[in-house]
Amino acid sequence: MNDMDKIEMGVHLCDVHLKNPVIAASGTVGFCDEYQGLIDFSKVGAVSLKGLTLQERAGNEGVRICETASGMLNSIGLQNPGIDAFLMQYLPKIQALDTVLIANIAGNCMGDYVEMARRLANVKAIKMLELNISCPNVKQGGVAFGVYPKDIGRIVRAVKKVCKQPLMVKLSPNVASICDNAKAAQDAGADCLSLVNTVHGLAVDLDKACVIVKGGLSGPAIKPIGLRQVYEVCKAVDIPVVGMGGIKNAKDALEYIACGATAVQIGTAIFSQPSVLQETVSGIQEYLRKKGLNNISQIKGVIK
Amino acid sequence: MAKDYLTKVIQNKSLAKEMVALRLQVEGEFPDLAMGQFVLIQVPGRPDIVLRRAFCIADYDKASKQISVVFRVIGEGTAVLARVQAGQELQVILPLGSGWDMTKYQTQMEAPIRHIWLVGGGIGVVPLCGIPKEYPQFDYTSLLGFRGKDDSVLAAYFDNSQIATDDGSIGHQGMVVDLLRPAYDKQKPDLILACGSVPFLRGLKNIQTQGWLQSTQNTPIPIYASFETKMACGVGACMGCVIKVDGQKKRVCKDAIFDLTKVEL
Repeated sequence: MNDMDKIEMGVHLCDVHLKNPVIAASGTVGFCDEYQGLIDFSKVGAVSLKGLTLQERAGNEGVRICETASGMLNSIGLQNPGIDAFLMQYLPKIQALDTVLIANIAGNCMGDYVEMARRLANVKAIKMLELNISCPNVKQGGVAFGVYPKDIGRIVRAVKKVCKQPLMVKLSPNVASICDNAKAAQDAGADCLSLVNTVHGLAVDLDKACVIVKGGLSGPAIKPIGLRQVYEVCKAVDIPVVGMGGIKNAKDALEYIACGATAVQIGTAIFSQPSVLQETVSGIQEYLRKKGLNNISQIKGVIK
Repeated sequence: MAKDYLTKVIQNKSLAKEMVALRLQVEGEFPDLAMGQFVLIQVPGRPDIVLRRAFCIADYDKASKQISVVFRVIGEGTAVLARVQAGQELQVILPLGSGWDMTKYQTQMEAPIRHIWLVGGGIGVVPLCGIPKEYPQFDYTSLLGFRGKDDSVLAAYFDNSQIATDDGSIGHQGMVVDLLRPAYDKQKPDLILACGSVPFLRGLKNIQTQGWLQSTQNTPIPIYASFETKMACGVGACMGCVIKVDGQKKRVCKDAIFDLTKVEL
């Protein structure tokens, strides 16, 4: 046994045991199959799968991605095959992966979310649900579910009634008070939180005088935003928090954990460096070893 | 299956103004490649550039484990890659995309493929240039469009090419589509393979819809096209690079190459 083996990297996220605290963020590795050969998912704590909707979605028209300084904007529009096709065609191919699979669900109305949680309730391969509440509620004038605490409370309560797996609620940073929203999710029964989703942003073409992409900003550019919101939410709630936003290496991940996150998600950095998930895991181990620590929990929340 | 390879720059050659050819030595086991596939190169030393750059494979040699890419400098990422030195290491994901597949195209055609047109515009000629080497059993006519004499250096990668340039500095002054009718009257192709910008491919599709591009069997000559879009993951996961094909959003990185008649441009 070498030094690395003595370091406990496992974390408990609600009732789910992750072999390490590094999770692939939703939308960045699809349903895993495209990245086989590039990512060893057995080395990853969990994978949050591509956002699912009740029906198949074609996604947005026009340009969907635009690189920006230290980041990228995306406006994919949740293109996905729908939950039934996922369960029948995609999940069978990945359910044997030696990692925790998290289903990320999104919808146009509360009924969509509830129905999806119901269909996933007895799917053994899905160990956790992640609720994407950054989508517009078409029945409420298109305001996203995740903007106001009362809307968050309502949707989380409704989903909790039917879902059997632990429920992780993914919070948007584009809100008045992230802590109020976090507390609303907790009070409504959320088992844990993940934050931050992408930050609203815009890229334009000056010469053509047009918008290139109006979408969500991710990547290192948003790390300070994510870190602050995670830091504040960890003080405001008692449930576990999964931190994300601009993580590209073990140092970034450790900063989130030191600010109170139980685990982290990595997304955009995978595009440039598919090995970033594994490298972050080994980098965290190396850091702990250097510091003479033997358990990831010893770093959690050390920044007060 | 695509992997992330460590490669070493063997040669960095400037082909023309803002046009560069890189030859890279692949470390480890050399993968099976097909012309028309592409690679994703990490921009070295620039963690602020969060996406890799996607380039088509211009040439490869299995024996020496080398690949070549040719690209135009259009932004910061390509500018950095244009300055890499021989001996420098680059992380390269390869092979990506589906590549040209004559066997597949043949199954969808009645008459045997004998004569193929390669129709390319600008840097879009690069995915076509290795086809004759990979499929030497066919005859080829290359119809190539460039801005001017400077970037027409890429025509050197083709035998028997006819050139159109925007400024008329070499070849026909005008569009590459102007070359189609005279070439067609001379010898009808069985198959057309194309690559270029969206306006370029739109022009080609317009010619196709005119209906005269008929084979010797009086059936429409199929056109298969490789597209260029901005990409994030390059492997088919992020859905960032889609175009509309047969009413559905298809990934340029994963689902390409497409039958041009089915693509909405």
